[in-house]
Amino acid sequence: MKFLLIVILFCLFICIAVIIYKIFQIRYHLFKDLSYIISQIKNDVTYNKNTIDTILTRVSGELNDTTIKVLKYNSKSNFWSYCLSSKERVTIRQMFDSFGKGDIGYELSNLDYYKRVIDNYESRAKYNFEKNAMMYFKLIIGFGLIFCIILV
Amino acid sequence: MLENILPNDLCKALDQIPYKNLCEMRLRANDSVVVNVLGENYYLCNDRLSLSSYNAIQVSLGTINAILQRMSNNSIYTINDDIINGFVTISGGIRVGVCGEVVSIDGKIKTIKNISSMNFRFPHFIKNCSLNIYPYLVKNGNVYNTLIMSKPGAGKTTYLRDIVYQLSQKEKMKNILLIDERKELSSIFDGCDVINIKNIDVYSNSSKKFAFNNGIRSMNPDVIITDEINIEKDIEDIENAITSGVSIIATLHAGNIEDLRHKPAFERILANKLFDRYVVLSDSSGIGTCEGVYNENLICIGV
Repeated sequence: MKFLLIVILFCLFICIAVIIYKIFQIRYHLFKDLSYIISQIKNDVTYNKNTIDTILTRVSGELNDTTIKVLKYNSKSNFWSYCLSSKERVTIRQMFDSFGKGDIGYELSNLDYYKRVIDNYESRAKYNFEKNAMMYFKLIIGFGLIFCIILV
Repeated sequence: MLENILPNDLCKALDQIPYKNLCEMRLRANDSVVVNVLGENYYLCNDRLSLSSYNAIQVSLGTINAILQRMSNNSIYTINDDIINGFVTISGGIRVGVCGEVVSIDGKIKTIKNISSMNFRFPHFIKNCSLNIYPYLVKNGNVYNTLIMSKPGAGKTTYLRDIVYQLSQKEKMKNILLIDERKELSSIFDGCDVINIKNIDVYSNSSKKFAFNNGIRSMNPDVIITDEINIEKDIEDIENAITSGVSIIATLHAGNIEDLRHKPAFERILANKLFDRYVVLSDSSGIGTCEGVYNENLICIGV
């Protein structure tokens, strides 16, 4: 019985480690995808003048599933929304709200502004993912392992 | 057609009017909605049409702005050029005129903001409505240069749309180029033709100058059909097309032949006999009443 509980506890540590790793990964993919969305909108608005709906529908097929989930539940409190800080959530919401509100000149300068903001988020998320995600993963697994050994 | 654009109450109220009778709908901020049915104006109420504004549906500035946003699919930049020109054409060829505060920078109009009035003009495709004048326009496969004129709302575009249809059916071997500047003749949206006109090349949403110059060079048309020419602005393109051996069928805002005579460029048209046929329409006995067909010397040759 004690052995079983220790195994369950260790599995719990693994789960926490995986979730934390995933959050780093999701954040990186999300900002990378958002940066891609902005580039696509900018290209399309400049050349084809397609509507935002049309561009997003086309682009959505090329995005990560998790990106779509995070964007879909951005305004609600749930697991996906916890991947982002409240400031990031507000920025993303404001960004999507600001699309399609003016003429081409307005749209392009607005897209340029948000591209800078999102690229900044992306570079930070990339740095955190590459440097910290695996470190936290190993630390938590290691801590879980030591904790289980002590219990044994 | 309008359920994705208009508020529900407005849509339901409009549903009570048969589409074929509906000509216009006018929305003004903080005012009652007015519809034009068979040439007569009425206030639009939830359950009826009325000559009194009591119980008529009203729209606010916010509603008009929301309608504008929906018309653009939440992408105003896609229709900003149209807004500057004063109208936006939406799905089904419905032409929405807009009025508001013009924003100019360095003398150039950037947009119209605070749009407070909208006028929806509903197009109609009345099959065979032009058959009474068709024999005057086309003889033995020869399409005459024709100018169709009437005051606004008297049926020019409906006639022209049917002429396009008749030509597409009866002159299948002719190269017909349709210059649909306002996207209301062929009603082509997202690459699909709503009215299902075949055998026609369409320049949609294009300026007349561009379409005339490029169309003649690239599409080798036998006939060019276009709506609402500006006789002063477009005369050189028309002249160039006619002297290139292309037949032209066009419409123009003029109540009658006398109105046409007062247009400055008309002397040139008459002197050079640019057009072989002039068709005058009115709404005297209902929209699309043919008042007369005139030849190049403005002699009436049929009614």
